[in-house]
Amino acid sequence: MKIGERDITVLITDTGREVLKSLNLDDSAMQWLYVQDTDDMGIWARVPREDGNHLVLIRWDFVLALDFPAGETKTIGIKG
Amino acid sequence: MEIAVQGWRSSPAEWDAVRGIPEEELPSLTNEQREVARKLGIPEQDYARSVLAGRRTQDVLLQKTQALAVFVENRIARDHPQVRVTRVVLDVVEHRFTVELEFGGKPRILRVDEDIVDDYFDGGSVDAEAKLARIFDRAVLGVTA
Repeated sequence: MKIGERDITVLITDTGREVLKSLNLDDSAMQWLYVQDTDDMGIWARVPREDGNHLVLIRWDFVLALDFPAGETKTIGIKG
Repeated sequence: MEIAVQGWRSSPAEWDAVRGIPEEELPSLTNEQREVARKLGIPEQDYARSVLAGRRTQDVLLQKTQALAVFVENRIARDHPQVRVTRVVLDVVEHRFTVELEFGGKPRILRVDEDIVDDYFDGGSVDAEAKLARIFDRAVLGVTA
């Protein structure tokens, strides 16, 4: 499963919240983030800052749960 | 032939584009979406922007799925006109297409990674074209055998 390129609710550990606080970012436990990509290290989230979007790594060690809508199905028929 | 895209994702470009859309132009949330936004503590406006970005990206993905369907149909029609392509579906979360073929009432389902299709359509890769052709030729052999 690939979960990049979508808005996801991320539940963050207390240590993760401390890290976010150190970066002067929202340190809420439950965050709605745009996940641009993921890799072995963790989640790469797009975070708007004063000078534009930044990419922030949230390590998997700090992620307790993820929740996102899978989305609707859109169908068309091109031939009978 | 049925062509479908299952699920959403939103490209960074669409995500950026919907940031600046005025609130009154955002889609209305269903009662169920409103309830989910409330439970997850997401501002309704942010949830609506996400839905809009998802729908816009879905339209682009539907075009890609349609392009693959035409490719498959042309490829198969050329050498095996008796085989019918019945369904082409992109599973957005899995980044994979499912192509359903039929010959004499016998179904054959094959799966193709989205990366190969992107390499062919976006990158114009000769390798990807050969790989796609091989996948479908093998599948047709399976269905007509």
